[in-house]
Amino acid sequence: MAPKQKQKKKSSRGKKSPKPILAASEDMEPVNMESMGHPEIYPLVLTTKTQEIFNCRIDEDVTDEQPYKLINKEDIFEDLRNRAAVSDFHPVKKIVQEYPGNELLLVYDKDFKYGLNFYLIGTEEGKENYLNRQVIPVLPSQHLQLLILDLIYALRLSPAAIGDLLILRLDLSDDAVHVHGAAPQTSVFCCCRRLHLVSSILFCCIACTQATPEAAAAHSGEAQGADAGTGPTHVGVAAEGPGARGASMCYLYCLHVLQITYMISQKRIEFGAPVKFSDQNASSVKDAYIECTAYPDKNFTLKQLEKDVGMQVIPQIKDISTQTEWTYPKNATIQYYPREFSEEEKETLKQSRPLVDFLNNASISVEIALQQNEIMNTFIDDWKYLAEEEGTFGDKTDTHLKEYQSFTDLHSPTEKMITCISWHPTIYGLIAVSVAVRLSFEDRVYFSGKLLLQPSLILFWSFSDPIHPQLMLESPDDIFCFKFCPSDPNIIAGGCINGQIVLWDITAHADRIENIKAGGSRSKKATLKPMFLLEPESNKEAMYIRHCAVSSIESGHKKVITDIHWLSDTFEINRMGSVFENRSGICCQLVTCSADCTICFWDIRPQKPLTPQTTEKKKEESIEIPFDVPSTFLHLDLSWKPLSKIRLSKGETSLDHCPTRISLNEDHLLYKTEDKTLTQSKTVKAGEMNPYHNLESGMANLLKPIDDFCTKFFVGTEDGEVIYTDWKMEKDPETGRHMPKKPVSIHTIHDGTVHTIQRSPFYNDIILTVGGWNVAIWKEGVMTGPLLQSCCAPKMYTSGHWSLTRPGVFYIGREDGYIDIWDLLEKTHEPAQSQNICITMITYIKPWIFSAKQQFIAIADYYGTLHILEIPWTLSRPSTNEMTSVNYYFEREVKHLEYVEQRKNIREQEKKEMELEMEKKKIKTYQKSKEQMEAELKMDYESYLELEKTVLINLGLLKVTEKGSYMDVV
Amino acid sequence: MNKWTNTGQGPGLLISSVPGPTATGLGEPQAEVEETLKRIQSHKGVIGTMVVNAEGIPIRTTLDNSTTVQYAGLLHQLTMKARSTVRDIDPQNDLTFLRIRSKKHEIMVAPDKEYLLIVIQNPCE
Repeated sequence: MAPKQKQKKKSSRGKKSPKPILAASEDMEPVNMESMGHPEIYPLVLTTKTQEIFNCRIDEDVTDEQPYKLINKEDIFEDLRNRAAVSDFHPVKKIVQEYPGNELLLVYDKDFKYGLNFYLIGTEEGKENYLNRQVIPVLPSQHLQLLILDLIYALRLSPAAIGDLLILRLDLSDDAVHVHGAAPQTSVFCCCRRLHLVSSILFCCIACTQATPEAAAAHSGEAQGADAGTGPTHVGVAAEGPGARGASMCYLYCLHVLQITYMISQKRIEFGAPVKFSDQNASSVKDAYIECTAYPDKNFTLKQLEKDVGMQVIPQIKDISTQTEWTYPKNATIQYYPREFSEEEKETLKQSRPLVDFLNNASISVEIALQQNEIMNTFIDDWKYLAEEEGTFGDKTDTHLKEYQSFTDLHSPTEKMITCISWHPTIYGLIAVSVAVRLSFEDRVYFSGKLLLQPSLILFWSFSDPIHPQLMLESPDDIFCFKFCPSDPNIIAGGCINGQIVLWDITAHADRIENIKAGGSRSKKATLKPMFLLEPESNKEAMYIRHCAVSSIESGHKKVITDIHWLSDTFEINRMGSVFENRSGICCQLVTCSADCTICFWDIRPQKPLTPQTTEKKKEESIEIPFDVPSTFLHLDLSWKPLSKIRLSKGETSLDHCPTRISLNEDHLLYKTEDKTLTQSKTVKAGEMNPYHNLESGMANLLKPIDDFCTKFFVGTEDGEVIYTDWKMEKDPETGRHMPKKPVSIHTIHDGTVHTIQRSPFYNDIILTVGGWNVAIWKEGVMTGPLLQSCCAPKMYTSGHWSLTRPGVFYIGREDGYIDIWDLLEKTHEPAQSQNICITMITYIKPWIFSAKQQFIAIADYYGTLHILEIPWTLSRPSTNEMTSVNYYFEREVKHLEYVEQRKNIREQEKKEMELEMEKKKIKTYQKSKEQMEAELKMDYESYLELEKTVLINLGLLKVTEKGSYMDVV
Repeated sequence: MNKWTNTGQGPGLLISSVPGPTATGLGEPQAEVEETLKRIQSHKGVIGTMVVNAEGIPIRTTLDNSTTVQYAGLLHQLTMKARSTVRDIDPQNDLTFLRIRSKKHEIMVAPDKEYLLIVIQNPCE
């Protein structure tokens, strides 16, 4: 269509160019309908006369059905010549003159569309358009489509080929169907409407098409001839182009009722062939490439300024379902609050008759059962009691301690004594012993130079090796007391003779001492072999371990430290002695007492308010420290100062009490932690991460104070006093200083230095004290005196310890090498038995539970030998009710003490009363009057006379007659 | 029981005065309950006595609340189980008394349709 339009435009231009010339020659300018979009239409008025001339009378020649008439150009010229200006064609004379064709198309404008009754088409294209267009508007229906489809099917055309290869030209004049064209299938199909009549005709056509090209060519002439003809049904097929060219063209004309112009053009060899697509160069083929350049579309550059948007909030709903594994149904209920009756309900229930009936019935049977139990214990285990009795009446030989092993340090050149013993809390058969040179103070001073050369040691002995110590802990001076840390057995704290506290960390050697167990078999061989054979091997094993830290010389104790204790991991104390909770969960505080009359509390954690000076010092020291010393307590070394210091003043005199032993409330707990499983788990923990390696300073954050904590403790002194006092400081109202409280009680019971103050492992409040020549047992809270005080023994007592399994048994070591075993259930006035252990003074006793059936006691003597003895069954196994019976004994003693105290008061009162009476009497005698005195004298004289008479009668000096007189006198 | 019925249902009393029997009816069972429990409690070694209803809810106890609740709940279950055991074996049989001897105590349970009487005794005392 486009090219046609172009042509039209060209033609219009071509027309226009001569127009001005014509306009110049003739005034008349034909009026076309350019304003209405049809420049080729020139409206005319044709009079009836003109209509007659040109055979175009309205309703006769031109009708609604045939509204046009083709008029010969010559006829118009003739008319123009005949009628000149009168001619109706005069206004369009110019058009007619310039018209290229022979016939002009005159159209009857019935509706006066262009204003006049006729109009003339001024161009050839316009004529053709009019003639063609006339049939388009009303198109038949789907029949044409069917037709086309049939055709396509008949021609074996692939549907893809339809678009470009098929050019249809259908003219259906009857139903005004004119399909022509350019025919991409869209336009064809949209034009195709009803045409079922045609299908048969088309079949003919198709049959022809399928004939050979020669046959088609033979028909073509006929077909062309039929073109102009008006036969009723004429079908012609024109095949144009020879077969050599491979193309054929079919013309199909159907005339009569309808006219079909059908043009199919396709290369013959491509009929029915599959379509092949291929790439081609766009530049090589003309018009193969159409460029569509981008350009801004003004329609879309408009800026939106306002917009109406409606919104409605809709709740989002999601349907989700899952399918879980379904096992089996189970009814489960949890009642977390007990059901209870209210008071009223209870009252009404109690008053209800059924309850009373029930109780009356039930009480009988219950009471029968109760009475049965009262009468006899049916379920008593006689065998158990039988065995018990057997045990108590067992052999006497069984009660003796049996020598198991003994250790002596053969390597030390000087003679030494053992000062302290401690069993390793976790490792079987490992015992630590501190040794000190056996010298008096004067000798010690005298030999001090010599003593410096040899190390002061704590030796670790193992059951598996009786000759060589497993570890040797070095210290600056002789150790007089030491303790394993309850939370980590690899930490050991000891007190020196010079007043320093020493700390060791043997974590690095823990494996070594634990693995001795494996060497158990070796020890047997070792006893068989001569000693010198073993020497080199074991020398290698002997380990000297340096201490980690020692306390400051200036600010610590001045004299020998006599006792040291770890405070329990449950609490910690501050400078004032107030007790706080211990958050670290490990033991990190120590308490020591020394012969310089002070008791000190120490904290192994670094103190926060450190002056820069001391930190510098520390740095310097850290350089000096050899590499083999663990840095656990580096922060303490030589700068460690006590947290607080307590001085036990005697009050009136300037002298102080000199403590030798202390016992805190928590001591018994430490025994409990010696329970094997507990400590083992603790060591495992320690192995994972040793808390002592990253100690944080205590007291840094606010700790919760423990209010109801008993801060009182027992102290034994050099003078044999047992003091019960408080470590909590109190503010002196006068000076404002914090002063230690006055002791709760002081008793001088012992006639020598107190060397043992120990709480019973069974009763928290029972304390054993040993000192001088006697033993005493105390109860905390009963401070009138000891529950038990033994009489003076012939030999001095030097050490003591409670039995770990029998509440009523304790061991006392004597200076003559004997062990006194006290059994409170058997005797309370003297030891149950005595046994000789060695020839010299026993310095320390420490029992140890190895298993339920085996117990050992370590006894150290003055000559440096450590005896390990096995405790017999009778001394280790408690009888069934020993705990309660011993407790009962203590209670009885308490009552006795109370009674004695009461008696004392009563006696004092009585004494006072007596004295008062005596005084009263005396006063009375002085108050007596003289008369009374005379009367009394008279009485005395009369009694004298009587006596004289009776004597005389008896002697026969007086006569009987005088008897009567005597009687009268009476 | 007899006493109660006599006094409570005595026709003369009922006729003569209405508040009379109600007063005695309220006061006497209460006193009787207390008396019985006191008598049981006074036996040697008795630690506690409690009366529990059929659902295991304590009605009367001489022990503290938490202990009572625990005992009541547990022993109620045990007694029900014991009773069902006895009945399963012989449907005509029924549990009349349950004695549990432990290391420390003996627990006696006297069951009934509606109530349980639980007594805890220390027989070794």
